[in-house]
Amino acid sequence: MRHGPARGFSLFGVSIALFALSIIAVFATPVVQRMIRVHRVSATLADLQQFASVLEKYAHDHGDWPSAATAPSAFPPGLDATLGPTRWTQPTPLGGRYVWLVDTLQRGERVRAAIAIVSTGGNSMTLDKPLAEELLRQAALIRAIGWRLRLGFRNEPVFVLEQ
Amino acid sequence: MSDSKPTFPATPSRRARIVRGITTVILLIVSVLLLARTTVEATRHDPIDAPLLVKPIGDPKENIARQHDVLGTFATGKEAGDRVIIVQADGIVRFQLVGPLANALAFSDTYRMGMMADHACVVTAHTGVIEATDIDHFSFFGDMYQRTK
Repeated sequence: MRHGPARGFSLFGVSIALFALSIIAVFATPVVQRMIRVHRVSATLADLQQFASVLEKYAHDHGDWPSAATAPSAFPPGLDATLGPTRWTQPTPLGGRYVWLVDTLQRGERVRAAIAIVSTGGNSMTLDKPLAEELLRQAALIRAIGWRLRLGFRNEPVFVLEQ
Repeated sequence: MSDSKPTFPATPSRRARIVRGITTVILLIVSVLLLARTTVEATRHDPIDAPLLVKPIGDPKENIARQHDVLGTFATGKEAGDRVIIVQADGIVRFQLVGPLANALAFSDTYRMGMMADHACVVTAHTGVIEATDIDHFSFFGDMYQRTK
């Protein structure tokens, strides 16, 4: 029968490894969370800019915005073809769905035309304070959309096309 | 002839084993605490608005009376795009939009009554606090609602 030194990990070794992992987790988690936040916000802003350019072109060609508000993820009237290739019908990177709004009240102000992100039955928006701050911070850095993006009813992001 | 006594690895002294055992336990406890803290921080949901100072109404009679005061339909107006809040006696509050999106964007929440300063408020489970500024008016996310029913 062979006898030799014990193989495998000792409890002491495991505890040192676990401690090292927990230290890494403490410092890495906020960094990873911030990276995810930044990515979600920039993807949302890219979507909104794309939608805005399509809608503004429509308004330029037709002399007015699409006439009626539509259900979440439904194309505004007359924009099926142009918004079809975009992410309009997809869940937004912040959760929830994009919706076209006409003449709505947003925190005491009537907004003539806007794109909002709303929670729907099967897809709720998860906007907490750090994410909202990141959204407004990044929007403020882009001159074309800084003033347009605000938090409206229920703190839902509203991208105002016309006040 | 060489001495062929078997050799064994040196075993740590009793004192060294105790120190190692205590260190192991401390490391494990600290690791678990750090991982728990990291998990709590990672899953925490910070509300966007600062929490309001809402006091629950302890007296059941007062609670019923306050609820009776806020039951009904309140709206920001009648045009498309205006908003409607319907407070029902069964503990449900409904939110609607006037116009073509009335059904598409309608949703419900549960509520309980509370007090903010000297007036009642409708504290919903997920949607926020509706302030009843008086018996006929609500204030909610910067919009003023007037009783219609």
